[in-house]
Parts: sequence; structure tokens; C-alpha cells
Amino acid sequence: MPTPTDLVTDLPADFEVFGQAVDTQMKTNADAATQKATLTTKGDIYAATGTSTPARLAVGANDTVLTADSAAATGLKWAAVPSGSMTLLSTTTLNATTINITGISQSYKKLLGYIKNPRPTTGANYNLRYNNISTATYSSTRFGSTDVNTVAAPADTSIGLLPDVRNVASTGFIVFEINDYANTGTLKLVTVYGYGENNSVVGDYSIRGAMGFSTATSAISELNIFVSGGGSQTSGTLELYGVK
Amino acid sequence: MEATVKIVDLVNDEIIEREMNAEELAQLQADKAKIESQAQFEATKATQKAALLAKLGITDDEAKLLLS
Repeated sequence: MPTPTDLVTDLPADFEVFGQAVDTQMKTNADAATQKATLTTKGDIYAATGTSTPARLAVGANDTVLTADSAAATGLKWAAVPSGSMTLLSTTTLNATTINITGISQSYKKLLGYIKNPRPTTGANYNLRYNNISTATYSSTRFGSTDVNTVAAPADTSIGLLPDVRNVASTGFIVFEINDYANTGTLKLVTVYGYGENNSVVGDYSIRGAMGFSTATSAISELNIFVSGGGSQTSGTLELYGVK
Repeated sequence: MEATVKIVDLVNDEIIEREMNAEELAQLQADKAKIESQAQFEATKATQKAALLAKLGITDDEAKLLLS
């Protein structure tokens, strides 16, 4: 290979040396590169079987997750989601009169909702519906500082989450769980527990534990969180989880 | 303040925020009326209970004991 200061005396021969050097370097680069053709199927990924040794890891089955496994050639495998694991489906700021979470996946055993720091514009009750059903198909029994214990026939149009929530910056917390929400053969049971500052008696807290149900047997693909008693929701967060 | 609805579509990963339509506003009013009716019912029941206890000359705890 001629250097910049070499005197060119035999141009064809110098070009030949130059060309051979370029060829050699290109082959070295090509040998070091990973071939695109390694990946053959949608969802395939590269994984290393050792230092600087990439290989194809074929896409896993639907709803499986990538898991470390030192016994596997690539150190990785696709595995079923462990039972009981939680997947965050959505995080929603509660800043409307009604919040509708639609298109909920049917792939989980249970829906778990956390309502954090709920704050209405005026003192208000927080309520829950399934699939935007507003007919008298709900019933619940409650235990708490602001409720008597009742067992009502399905005459309610929603499930009460927490009553008379005060319109201040809040440290309130409401949890609700709906088991086997995707089945179509049973009514839908929800358990609720939560607390929040009471609006009517400033300084007091409302604590509620409730069990409720809807007689509608359709699978739940939508949840509706709304306030009643006037006003709207001004802040707070709903985290909705799917539990395997 | 306008009544609003926020729709979080998990399938299409979209969020729609809008004012309530007529149907939703009607439902909101119905919900409000039901809550007020329920609160009124419970208040009336509490008043009647207090009046009855006073008439009998016993306390709430004594009434519970009587019924247990």
C-alpha cells in the first residue's frame, strides 16, 4: 500500500495493492458484523451466546415475557407471566366529572384499582360502574364511619367507593378489586376499601369497606369512575392493574 | 363549571376529553338526584329513630341490647 509521500512509478501495480487492502478490510468488517438475515421472524431478537457472539432468539408465544435463564444458550427464555404478577394497564389523572377506562384487556384474572389523593371540586361521593351500565343492577353492603350496615336488593345504579370526599388537597386512598372480571357466567363482585377526609365534618375521616356486585354478567371491558352530589374531579390519580 | 368526561381508550392508546353530551348530563342529574334522595331517606330514618328512642326513654345502646 503506497503512502502519501511515495513516488508513484507504477500506477497499475499500486492500484492493485490498494484494491487488495480495501478488499481485505471490507471482508474483516463483514465478518465482524451481525447478519440481518439472522432474524427471520417478526418478534425475533438478538441475544448473545457469549462475548461478541450474537444469535437469534425466536419470538415467544403470546403473553409470555422475556426471562433470564443461565441454562439457556442465550441466557434468555420466554416464559409465562407468573401467577399473581401485576401489570400496570393505565395511569389516569382524575380531572373530569366522569372517567371512562375503555378497552380493558381480558387477559387477567383480576382488576385492581388504586385511586390516590382524590380531590373533587366540591364535597362529593366517588362511585364505580362497569361497562357504563347505569341501570339498577348494583347492590352493596358497607362498613364505615359514615354508613350504616345495609344489605340492599339490586336497586342501586352504581357502587359507592367513598362518600362525601372533601374538596382539599388529599392524602385519601381508595382500593378496589374485581375478581374474574372477564367471565360471562357470574355477576361481578367488587371489594372496596378506602379513606378520605370528610367534607361535612371537617377534621374527620371517612373510612369505608364495602362489598358490592352488579347482576350484569357481561365481561368487564370498561370501568367508569364518577362523582355525584355536584361538582367534578379536579385531581388525583387512578392506577389500574391487571393481575395474573 | 362544565361537566366533563375523560375517556381513556386502552386499545387505541387514546385519551379523549370533552364536555358531557345531553345523555351523559341527564345521567349525571339522575345520579345526583338518587344520592340526594338516599341522603334524605337516611336523615329521615335517623330522625324517626331518635324520636322513637326518646318516646321509649331508652338509649341507642339499650335498644341494641334489647334487640340482640
